[in-house]
Amino acid sequence: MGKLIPFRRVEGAVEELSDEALLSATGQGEQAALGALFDRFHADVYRFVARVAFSTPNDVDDLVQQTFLEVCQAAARFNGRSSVKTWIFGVAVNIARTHARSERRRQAAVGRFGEVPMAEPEQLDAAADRAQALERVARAVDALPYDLRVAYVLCVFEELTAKEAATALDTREGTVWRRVHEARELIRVAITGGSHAP
Amino acid sequence: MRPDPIDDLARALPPYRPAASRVEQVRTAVLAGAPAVTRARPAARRATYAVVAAAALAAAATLIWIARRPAAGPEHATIEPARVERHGTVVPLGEARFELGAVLPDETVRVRDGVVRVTVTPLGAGERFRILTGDAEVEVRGTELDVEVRADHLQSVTCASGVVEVRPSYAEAVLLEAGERWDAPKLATVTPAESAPVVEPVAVAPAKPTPRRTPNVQASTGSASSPIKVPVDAPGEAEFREGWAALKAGEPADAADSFAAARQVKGTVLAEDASFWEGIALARAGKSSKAIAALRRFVSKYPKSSRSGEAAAKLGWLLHDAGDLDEAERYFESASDDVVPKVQKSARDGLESIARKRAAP
Repeated sequence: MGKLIPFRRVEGAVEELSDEALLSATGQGEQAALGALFDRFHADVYRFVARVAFSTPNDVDDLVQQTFLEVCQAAARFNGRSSVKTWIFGVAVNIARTHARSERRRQAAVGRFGEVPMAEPEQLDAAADRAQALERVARAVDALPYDLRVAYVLCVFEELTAKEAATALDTREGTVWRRVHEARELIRVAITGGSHAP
Repeated sequence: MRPDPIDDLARALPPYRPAASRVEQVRTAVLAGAPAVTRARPAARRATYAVVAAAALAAAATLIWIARRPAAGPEHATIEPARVERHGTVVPLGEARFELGAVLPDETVRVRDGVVRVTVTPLGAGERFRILTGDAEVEVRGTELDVEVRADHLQSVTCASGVVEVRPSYAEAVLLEAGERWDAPKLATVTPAESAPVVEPVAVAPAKPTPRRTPNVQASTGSASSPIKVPVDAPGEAEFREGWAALKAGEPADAADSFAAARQVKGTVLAEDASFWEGIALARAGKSSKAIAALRRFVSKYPKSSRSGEAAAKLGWLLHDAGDLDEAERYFESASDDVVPKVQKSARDGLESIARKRAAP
């Protein structure tokens, strides 16, 4: 009979532990903490990855999985200069970038067999069909260059501040502002058929 | 960030919502793929400590020599690591490699090799306990069991008490009750000589091997130093099982008697479940007043049960049909915010029915 190894005993419920404490414990190899981090942030990561990575549901699952495995590997390097959520987004950005590049190449190859026509330009007004407008926005976001799309998704969909997004993207805050602005203008052009704002 | 109508439109896009089952699979894969925290043997551990300590001393001396100042630790070093609550105890029977995984409410243990005995204390409402291997998971509820894993493949599960569900990735799930054992089909196992479980030959089924379960077979493994004892029912378990059997056989009155007996067994961990099913069985048997009494008892005694909403809705309908609209309304209202959509709907339907009855001349 082997030695009895009791599980760790109560020192607070998981929901009471800070994100930083969980990440720190993850960095020390505590899988329980990794599970709790997954529970806390998987919805954010799913939403983000699905929006930026041109992905099928299976791809999204894979990317989320890779993100959290990387979180586990890199947890010990967390320096506390950002929130844990921002840091995890930074990990997801890097994971999704690689996938998006290969997917873009694949789509470009597929595109050679026939361009998918964009919908006709239409003014956005009260009479416009909302569902159609949303579909165009979705397409326009998908059509953004990767860097612009990620900045836009982080700041607009995930509601990170420009400073937080800059941390996640490892770039300057001004760069994030510029990318979000360019992304907006491209989306506007795509859905209204207008030209770039000055 | 300056608001823009384009942003408002973009935010109106429906967010991606993966199915819960997909999330569950990914979560399991993440925990399974995370680096293992191997429990080294004491001798090996002592040697490891010695090497690490020597390396640390050398590194510290070097740093002092170079920088002539103490090295700053990483910022996160000051953060208190998580300490978490767990329901289970794992005892390796001989050499075994395993790691504790996620914590409550979905506690997991990842077993990679060897035989472990797992004892799980009764779980609360909405809580789960699972044992994960490379090719299967075993879900447990208030029980004791032995799990044998070889090279990350589940080989056998022996249930000593309670109920266990074995879910191999390559075959259909199997429910084990006390005294039953599941063995992996030979086709699905890796078969190093030392790891082959003691099983009878299994019929060849190339497409989809079906696991077998063998009642009352004593566990026998290549490396287990302490085979599991002949299983003994937990208090109240036999009565509870009889209740289930009767309910499934369409004999709700008998089932209610058995559940009532199970509920009253001293020290049983099944009292909550037995109490609920007693009420349901009585209702199915058409014994409304007794069902009302049983469900009232359940709702008042186990207000935090995952089935409290379901019981309240059922109780509401029984009272509704008995003409006690005021009390029925109270139970429907308590069930109307249940997490289960069907329960919510039932409660709302009940409230609407009461409103119609009251409005009728």
